[in-house]
Amino acid sequence: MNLDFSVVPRMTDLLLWGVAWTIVLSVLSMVLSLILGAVFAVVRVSSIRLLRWPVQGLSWVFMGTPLLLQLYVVYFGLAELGLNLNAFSAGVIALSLHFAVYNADIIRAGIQAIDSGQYQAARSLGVSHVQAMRKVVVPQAMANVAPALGNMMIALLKESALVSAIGVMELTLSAQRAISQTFRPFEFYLAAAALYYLLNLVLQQALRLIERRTTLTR
Amino acid sequence: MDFDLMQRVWWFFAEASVATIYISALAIVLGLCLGFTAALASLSRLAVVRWPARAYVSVFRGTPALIQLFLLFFGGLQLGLELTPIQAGIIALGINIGAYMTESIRGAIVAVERGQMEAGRCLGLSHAQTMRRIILPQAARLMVRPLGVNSVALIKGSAIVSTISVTELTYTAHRFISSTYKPFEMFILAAIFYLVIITLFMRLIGWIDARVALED
Amino acid sequence: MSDPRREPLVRIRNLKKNFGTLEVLKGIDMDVHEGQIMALIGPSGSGKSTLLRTINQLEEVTSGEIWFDGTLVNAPLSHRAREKHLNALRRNIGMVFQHFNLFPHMTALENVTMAPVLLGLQTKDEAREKALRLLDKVGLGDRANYYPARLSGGQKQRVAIARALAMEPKMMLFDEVTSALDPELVGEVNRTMKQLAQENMTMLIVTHELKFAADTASHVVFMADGLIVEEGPPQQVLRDPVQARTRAFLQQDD
Ligand SMILES: Nc1ncnc2c1ncn2[C@@H]1O[C@H](COP(=O)(O)OP(=O)(O)OP(=O)(O)O)[C@@H](O)[C@H]1O
Ligand SMILES: [Mg+2]
Repeated sequence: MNLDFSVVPRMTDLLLWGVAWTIVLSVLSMVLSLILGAVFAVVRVSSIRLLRWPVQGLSWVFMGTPLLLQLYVVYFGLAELGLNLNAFSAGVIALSLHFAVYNADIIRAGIQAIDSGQYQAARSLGVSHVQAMRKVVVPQAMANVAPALGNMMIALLKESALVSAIGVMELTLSAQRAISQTFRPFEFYLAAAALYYLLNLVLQQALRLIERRTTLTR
Repeated sequence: MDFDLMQRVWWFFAEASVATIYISALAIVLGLCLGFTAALASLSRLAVVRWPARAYVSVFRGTPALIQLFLLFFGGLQLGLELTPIQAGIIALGINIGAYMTESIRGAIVAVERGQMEAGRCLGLSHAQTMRRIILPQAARLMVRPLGVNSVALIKGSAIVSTISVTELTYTAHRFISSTYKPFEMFILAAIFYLVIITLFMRLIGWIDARVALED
Repeated sequence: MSDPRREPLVRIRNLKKNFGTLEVLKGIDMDVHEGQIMALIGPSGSGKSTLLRTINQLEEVTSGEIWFDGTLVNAPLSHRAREKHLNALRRNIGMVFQHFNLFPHMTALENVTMAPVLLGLQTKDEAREKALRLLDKVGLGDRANYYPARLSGGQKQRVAIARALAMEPKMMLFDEVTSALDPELVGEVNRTMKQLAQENMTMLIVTHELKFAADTASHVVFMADGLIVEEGPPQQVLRDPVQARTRAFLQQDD
């Protein structure tokens, strides 16, 4: 067999550079997708149709089409609109929008699942509206949605590989660069896979810590 | 909005969606085969059977499908495994979705009440007989929807084979965007086809689900 | 009825069972003779279900011996040999559960015929004929083609009894078979069990219904904290117990 893994360490810098950018890109998109997701969720349960409908339409289209296609349209489309953004920004925007739509769905379900009796019980104990929301409703909702949102973040990390297709420098593209210098795709894609797997483990561990803080003791 | 252009090129998208459907269908079948095997293996009493199944799920769910595809296609070529892009696409997508399907199938099997296995065993049936006659028929009903969700994800995920030049929907959209500089028009065309395919597929899942639902 | 000189059908000696560090059975000695109707009573958590379930090895034991019909149930065997041995054993021991555990994807009739046909004990026609007879006997001749979801709890439980009987077991185990039922449905299941008792079926019945135990059982065993505290004929154990622990349990129950 024609395998030579000794080429991999020679490209350590390039690969670590890729890892760093994958982390930056993913974390940024995660934060944005959560904020946007919460906004979309609130809009979708609101009674203002003029706000609700566009968001509904957006989520229908974004849930029904591939992320890769969305990446292309954001990247080329923004330029078409005169917004000359670099590939990195386009990648972050597409990832954030794509996952915001899914997060919104989860958060909306979380909001709707809260038992109104819980709120009323708190109020009947003489607790104010804000306190009832802060101490009773929101913690329960958080506990309900945290695991599903965590899964979305894990998906986001993996899907971030797609931004290599519009030329964003991250782990997948750095592996491709290494390959174009060494002509050793197997070794470098395997190395990239291992690095993604590690990142994934770290993220899962981090999520577990966060979840332990938000979930109620069962 | 350049409707004229859209009218001129829509047929290319229609043809490309046939490729998307073909690739997805074969990958789903492959994924189901792998998923069933790995799900049963992961529930085995024997660690040597259980362990590879768990590893399969963990590795293929823990890394990007795109990397898996490149590893198979480009890495395979390097090792003398000459696959056409379509073959590599179907195999990589199938193996990837199989890992997710394993979890759906496993979850459905585990969700069947423990008492059902006990009742079967109490009648003197073997573990395998109880599995086949009692547990799996009930689990089958529980797994239709989760497997449907996996399959929809796969149909959308099949877009990644455009990166190895398989002429399917996303590839076609990308090609026309580059040549016409009309990203929104091309996106709308591709989106229409994706939405139609996925909507029809979900109808099919709903129909299957209704057919296998328990009478009560 | 039972003849104490003959070998008991079930013989349990110094049986212990732990779940992790929790000792659930702490040394049980018990005989069940052919034709005996044995009621097993005791407070919740005393280990009644566990004891019942060790007899057909739904629970493995920690130590001790269980003999059924002259063979050692918990013999140390390789996995394969043990599975075969258990399949054979379980064909001879019918079990009825608190929550019925009917197969929801099969009609009442299919529930009853499935095992005998699959195991090659009866042909399809034989099994069907026999199942219809059994369903008739438990009063459900007209419900043969119903799915469990369309049967009441009492009807489900009677189908479950018919299903166990179709295997022609030498013994039947009942684990609180009426405690998941609405009160008005308890009677029909109890009647079915009494009928079986009259036909001299060997039965081991875990129950909370002391009146049913008094009426039906030929022998009552009182368990507490993983041990047998007292046993004997129902009129003695239930009316005139020797042990303070039994008296306390019976008083509490009234
Ligand atoms: N699978 C198990 N794992 C751990 N502990 C168990 C298990 N099954 C039973 N136990 C424990 O063993 C003890 C005896 O349980 P068992 O079900 O035999 O009692 P029981 O007498 O049937 O009670 P009940 O009248 O409530 O049915 C209980 O403390 C129970 O919590
Ligand atoms: Mg019990």
